[in-house]
Amino acid sequence: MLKTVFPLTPDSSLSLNAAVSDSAQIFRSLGFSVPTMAFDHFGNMYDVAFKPRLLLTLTRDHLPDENSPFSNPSELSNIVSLIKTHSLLSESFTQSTPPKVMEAWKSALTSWLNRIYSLLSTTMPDKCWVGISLLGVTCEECSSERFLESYSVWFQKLLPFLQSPSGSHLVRVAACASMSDLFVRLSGYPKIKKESSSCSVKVVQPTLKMLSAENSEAIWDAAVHLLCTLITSFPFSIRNHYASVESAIALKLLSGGSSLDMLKKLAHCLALLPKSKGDEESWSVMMQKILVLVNNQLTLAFHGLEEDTMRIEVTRLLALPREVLPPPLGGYILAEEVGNKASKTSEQSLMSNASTLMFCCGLMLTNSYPVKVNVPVRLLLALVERILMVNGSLPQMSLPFMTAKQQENICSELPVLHSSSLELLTAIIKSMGSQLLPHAAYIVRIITKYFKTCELPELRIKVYSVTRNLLITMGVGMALYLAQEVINNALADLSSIEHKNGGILNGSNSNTSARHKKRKHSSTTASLQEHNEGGGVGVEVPKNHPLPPISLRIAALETLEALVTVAGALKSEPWRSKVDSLLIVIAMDSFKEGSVGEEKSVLEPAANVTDLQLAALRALLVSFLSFARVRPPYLSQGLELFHRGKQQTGTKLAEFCAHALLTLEVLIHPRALPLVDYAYANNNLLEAHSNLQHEYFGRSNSTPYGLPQVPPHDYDDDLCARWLENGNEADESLDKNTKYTGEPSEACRANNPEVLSIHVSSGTDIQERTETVSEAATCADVEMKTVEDEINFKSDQQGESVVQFQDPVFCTTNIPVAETGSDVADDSVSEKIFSDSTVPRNEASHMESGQGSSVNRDFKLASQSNSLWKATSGSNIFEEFVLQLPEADGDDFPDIVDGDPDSDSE
Amino acid sequence: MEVVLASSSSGEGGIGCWDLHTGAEQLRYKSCASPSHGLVAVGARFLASSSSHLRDSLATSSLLFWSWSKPQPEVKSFPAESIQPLAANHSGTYIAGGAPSGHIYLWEVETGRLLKKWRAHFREVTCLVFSEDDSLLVSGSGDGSVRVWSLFMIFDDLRSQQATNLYEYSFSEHTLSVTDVVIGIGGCNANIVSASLDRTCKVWSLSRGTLLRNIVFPSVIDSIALDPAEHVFYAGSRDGKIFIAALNTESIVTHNYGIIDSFSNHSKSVTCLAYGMRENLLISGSEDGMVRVWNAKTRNIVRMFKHAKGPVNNILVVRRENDSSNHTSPIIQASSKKQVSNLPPPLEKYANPKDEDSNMKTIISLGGGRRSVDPLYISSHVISNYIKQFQHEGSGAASEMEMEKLKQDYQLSMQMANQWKKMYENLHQFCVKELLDGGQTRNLD
Repeated sequence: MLKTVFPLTPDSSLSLNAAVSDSAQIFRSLGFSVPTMAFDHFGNMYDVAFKPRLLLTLTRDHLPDENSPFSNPSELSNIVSLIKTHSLLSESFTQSTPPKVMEAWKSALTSWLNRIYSLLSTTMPDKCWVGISLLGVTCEECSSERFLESYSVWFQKLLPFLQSPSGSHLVRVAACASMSDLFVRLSGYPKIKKESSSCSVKVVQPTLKMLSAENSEAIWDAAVHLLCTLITSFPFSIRNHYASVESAIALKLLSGGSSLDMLKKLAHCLALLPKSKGDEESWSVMMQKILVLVNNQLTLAFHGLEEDTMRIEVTRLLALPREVLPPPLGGYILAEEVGNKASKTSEQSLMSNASTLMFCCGLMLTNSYPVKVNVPVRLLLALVERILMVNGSLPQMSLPFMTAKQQENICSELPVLHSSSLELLTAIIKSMGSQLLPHAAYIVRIITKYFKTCELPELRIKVYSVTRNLLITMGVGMALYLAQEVINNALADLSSIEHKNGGILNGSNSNTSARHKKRKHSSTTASLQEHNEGGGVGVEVPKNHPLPPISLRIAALETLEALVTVAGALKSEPWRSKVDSLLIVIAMDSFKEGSVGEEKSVLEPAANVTDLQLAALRALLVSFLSFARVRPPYLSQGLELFHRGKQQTGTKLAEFCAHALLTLEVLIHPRALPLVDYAYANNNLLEAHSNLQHEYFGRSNSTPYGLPQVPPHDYDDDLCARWLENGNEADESLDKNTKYTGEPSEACRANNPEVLSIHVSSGTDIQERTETVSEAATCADVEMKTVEDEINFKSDQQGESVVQFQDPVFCTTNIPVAETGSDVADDSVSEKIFSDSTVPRNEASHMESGQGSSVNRDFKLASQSNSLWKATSGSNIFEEFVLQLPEADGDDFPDIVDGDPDSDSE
Repeated sequence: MEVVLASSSSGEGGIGCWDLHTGAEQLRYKSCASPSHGLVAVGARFLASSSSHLRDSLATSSLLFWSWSKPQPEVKSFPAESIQPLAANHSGTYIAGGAPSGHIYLWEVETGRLLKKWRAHFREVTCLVFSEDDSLLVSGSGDGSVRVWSLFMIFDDLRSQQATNLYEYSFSEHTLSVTDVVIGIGGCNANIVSASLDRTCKVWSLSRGTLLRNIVFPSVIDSIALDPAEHVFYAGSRDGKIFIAALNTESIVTHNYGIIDSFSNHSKSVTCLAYGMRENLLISGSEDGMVRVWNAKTRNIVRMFKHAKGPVNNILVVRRENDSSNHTSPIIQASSKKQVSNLPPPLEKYANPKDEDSNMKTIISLGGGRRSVDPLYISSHVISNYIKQFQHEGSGAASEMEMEKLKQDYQLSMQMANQWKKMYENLHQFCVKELLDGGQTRNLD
């Protein structure tokens, strides 16, 4: 009977009765009431009138009641989802909601609640369960008014289910969940704090009882959740029961037999517990207790497996902070019990206890806490080190005291323990942030030592992630330390490609030889070709040397990425070229494996080939971007890969490749956009006289005060002008390089009228503008006007500005012209496109001559042609030049030290 | 709220504080005579300044902390030497101070512990600055050298013993005392700009460790401010001009060795510069005690603040949280009322070598203002969980419920059976009676 479709889903009603519903609405809007229920149509699925109707139907037809049986539980989830989708319990009215609808909704909700109450009072456990669960949903979904009005009733109805020791487990679990939801909602109303805390106090005792008396994990789970809610929302209620909560949870934690999931939940609750007091002391005490316990368990488990120094060190650090050790976790009685048990229990349970407790430590470090706390960093790190240094090997002297069985037990559990101590290390790094600095060297030492011995892929992945965290949080300084270690390990883990690759990248031990080889194939194509050739042979290799799992390779790539991000340019010479060629090889490989990827992904569902590809491309992008001095050697291959990746529509890879191409575009067309447009709209005087500008350009560059509203054309023009200026540079380089003497630029211009035209229209300063104007044949009238204009107000503002730059409106699309210039010019232009570095260098090293010549040249040109220059020469520009030149001559030029034209001046 | 803070060496004016956007003067922090580069905002949490008093011909020097809300310094510390330049890392967990002897001191703010002290220069340290990622410290000195320190190296006793030099780079091209050092963004590709009494500013590359550009100015530059886009930098000179010098502007035809432009409205020397991020404002302090706010684009003065008669020598632009006590929970508010101040303890004078275990612990604040908002409501989750269990018949809870139901059914049927039994018995008795009675009557008949 319950499998029927709801008769009043919005769609059906709409499609059937659209016309009628329209007319009904018209009726309603006109103030007529539509009399019969059957034809009381509503607007659409958003109409408020629809909600009470649906709620009523649900209550009437689909909820079980005392008499009708509850046969199909899946119906219930349908009801819940309908309630949530349409927010049927929200009673959210607007101003325009007709009062009739409001009434209808209110009464529908009341009948819904009445039905729930009646369900709660039945003896049938399944109906009772439905009632309790739906009450929890109601707590979450109902309106504030409704909640405040009736939460105490609901609380009273729920409480007996928590208290009664009998009753179905299911009912009690649902009661815990609904009670927890009630308190979560209550915590949102600080105004009624008194009432709500008096409620919460009543709950603690029964919950604890459930935790200790019951024997079902489902109930523990629900009870722990309720406790966590109380701790975070109503810390006060827990405070009186602090010790008993602690011992109850500790007992469950240490007595064993719980599932891993349950243990994690208990650890979570234990970590939250100090929050109920919220002071520094209780946090420290809890931390101390946990660490003491971990240490004891480890000492028992590792007996005969480790050197005494580590144990003694940790124990010494534990005893340090306070003279009197706090009572053991969960009180003395529990400790004794656990201690007695521990002597009998296996190593496995000792070690699993230790890892759960360490998980708890990690949570305490990463959870927020209201006050500052004193973290025993050194102790935590020593503990981590102690665990990581045990690898299950037996020292000679303890051989006779341990059976092979014991050793087997320990070694089977060690990976879990190592993994949780690495997690703890991650938590330490996360919580300490920049304050880790004094301990950073210690951590690095632990990591390096462990990296050398660690072989299991899962653990290596964790070590990599710790390394990444360190690199990103600690920055450049840390990268200088860790670089070599990361490189060695990543190369080893990505070594499958190395084998295929005929030895482009040898292992870390033969650094120098690898680099020599690399030099031999200094051209990228050669080395890549070799890699291609090797590709066929390499397929056989994995058989005796299995490939490291993909997830490990991804972790290695991500760590390389982090390293290159942080310190790609600082003291990276020893490893940089190796990493770059490795990355491009892996990226290219990942595209080749495309078809193989499908079947592999079945075998390794955790991380498949596409993830590896993504990681490889990410690392590749970073390696391109972090080059400071030279053009990335494999840029063209990389670009092709990104293009190919972008074509895989709809994948993450395509998204990333689009992003990468955008990023690389900036690398290819470098731009240094000024925050304040100094160069081309540097006309502060134009600003001051923006009225004049308005007349000619009809736009303003900035608001009088506040954020400058830089119109986009400025940027265009900046870019454009730089392009055009490269033409200028070409001229200059011609000046230098060719053997023309006397008037080199003149000669050049005479030979290449096109270059001349570039120069003329490029316009980087006012002199050139005057040229432009002077050759009036090519110029528009507007330009003429502007220049005159500028000159006009320049004379107004003498002595204020030094140089007037041209307003950039006239720099138009001359790029093709630049490219079709003379051969020499073309070369130098293209050179500049690739490495922006040369531009400033030339400027710097030829500053004197450049300046002189440019002035001379311009002067010549100008004086050749027109008297306009003379007009401007009366203005301050010329004066400034004259004034500045002697000063420049007076200084010793050799201050410029670095004259290497290949290097970059950023 | 973005505020401008200015202090002077005279000490009368204290530290002036103005809202950069409204121009309204805020609280003035008192009794501070700061040396140049001696004023820092520690992680925007509080204000710290080194201060030296000449009292009774005895120079006492101290480090003062102010909380934002109180004019009087709340914490005073007395380091072993008179500290001049101060720097704090971005999160405000460490304070570095430079001493006249050439030593650099590094304190942990939270505990006040002197973590490290090392000999950095042959002469006094004049300026200190942390790099963008807080892992490097750049110092300038009276001997003209600029040095880059990796804090990891400083803290790693093992490696620092092996290494020949503690520093990563030492730039010694300046011939006279360094007056200011700034470092740009870009991690390991950052540029360092230094100014010196030798009338030059030099641009250094961190990644390469070389001099990139040398710019000669007509007079001594006392302060540098980087344009956030690092297109140019501003240099405040002793002749009252603010020069604009090219940093990343290849496109500009450079005149006069990289100086693009200059502007001035200062009658006296420009002693300090700062850049306000939000609105492209350049803030300059002058020897005449005025603080001027310029629109960096138009180079017009937007605001002027009168600080003191004496020279202004430090300017900071700080984005201040509106009220630091807002976010804290009621518990802390109560405790902070008790403690009066939530400033850290004073900085220690000496590192305590005996108590080596003291640095076993670190005070940190966990989670900061971040509140974890979990999907806390669980009952609908529980419902769907159990419905799943119902559907996978045979799970413990479901079968238990089935049991309960069956028990109920059993009881019902038992009752029913009993009733039937009773009815049957009644009927039986009735019939027997009837039969017997009928027999008797027939017999009687």
